[in-house]
Amino acid sequence: MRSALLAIVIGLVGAAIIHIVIILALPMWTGKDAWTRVRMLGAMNRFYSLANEPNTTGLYNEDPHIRSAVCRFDISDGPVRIIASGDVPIWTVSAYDVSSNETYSMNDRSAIGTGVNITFVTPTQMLQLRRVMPRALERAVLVELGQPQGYVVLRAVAPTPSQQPAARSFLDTAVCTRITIDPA
Amino acid sequence: MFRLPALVALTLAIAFGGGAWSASWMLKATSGFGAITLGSWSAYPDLQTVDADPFAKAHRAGDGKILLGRAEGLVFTARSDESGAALSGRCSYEISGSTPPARFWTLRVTDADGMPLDAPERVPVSLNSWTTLRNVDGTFRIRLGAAPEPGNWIWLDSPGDVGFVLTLIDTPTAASVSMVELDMPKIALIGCADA
Repeated sequence: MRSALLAIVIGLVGAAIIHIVIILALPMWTGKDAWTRVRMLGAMNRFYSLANEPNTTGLYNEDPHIRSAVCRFDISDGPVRIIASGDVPIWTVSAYDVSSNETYSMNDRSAIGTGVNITFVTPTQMLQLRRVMPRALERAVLVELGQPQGYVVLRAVAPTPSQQPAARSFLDTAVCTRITIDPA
Repeated sequence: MFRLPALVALTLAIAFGGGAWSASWMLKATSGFGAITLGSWSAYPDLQTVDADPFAKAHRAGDGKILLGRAEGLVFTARSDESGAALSGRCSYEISGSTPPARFWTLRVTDADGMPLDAPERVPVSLNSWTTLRNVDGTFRIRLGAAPEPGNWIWLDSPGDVGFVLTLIDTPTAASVSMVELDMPKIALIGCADA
């Protein structure tokens, strides 16, 4: 009798451990998290504009007034520069790591100038840039990321149908490119 | 003679069965902690951050959505009207009042799973702060229903329950300390179509 009770108690302790393991491990095994879906979109270092309707990629603009584009990047071999400009009333941008945790976000109010000009760098690249800042990056917002891989989402607001073309071209002409810094 | 193997089997059955069942039950019962609730509306300001709790992260990974960053905005969802009854696609509602401070907001309707409704062409399925007509004091009144109405109107005619989603873009709301004092629009039931 006592050993049966012991077996149940050990079983309950085991159940608690397995409960915790399942909850913590689940994000890695769903197979449909945002990072997996972004990776399925295609190559790195280019923006993919999302459709307004639900589709097989699993990613779409939930809000018809807010269009978005996604770019996957890996900065281990060099910084990645995000540039976009155009006539949109509001734009926002945010970056996420591979577990879809937000690493950086900003909007047009907090930008210098009117367009998006952000460069994602690793801590090492940041040190190099501090020594010699290339002219091209002088006005860029430098963002240091702990993880080299991630994705960046650019959103353009189009409150009325007549503003949709401007929002679309803002996202279509957005650049997400790897740059090289001279090891001076 | 088979006492020990039977006890080991019992232990393992409780551990794996109980662990798996309780995990799936927890995930169904809660969508994570850290929600802020204002009337019928609720939002998860920390959902996209590393500080989200494990349950919220599990849900986030299962939904696979690209969430709004902190500087981008905050999404409020309502699943019930002000009396607490679930929002039905066969009823008509009035959303009135004002939103928390934001540079831009949109209001749209989703089905119970958060997907957009199958709307016929050329009916308004969402409104935003630019296209919404206001009263003199800046408040608004939005009607949602199957039949078109003058003023602000969003089409709503769907079997099953629905949800209303209010997206605030560039809002200090997420960082606001006194969340309770924020004004959220009220959702009032007008009437339901006879089933």
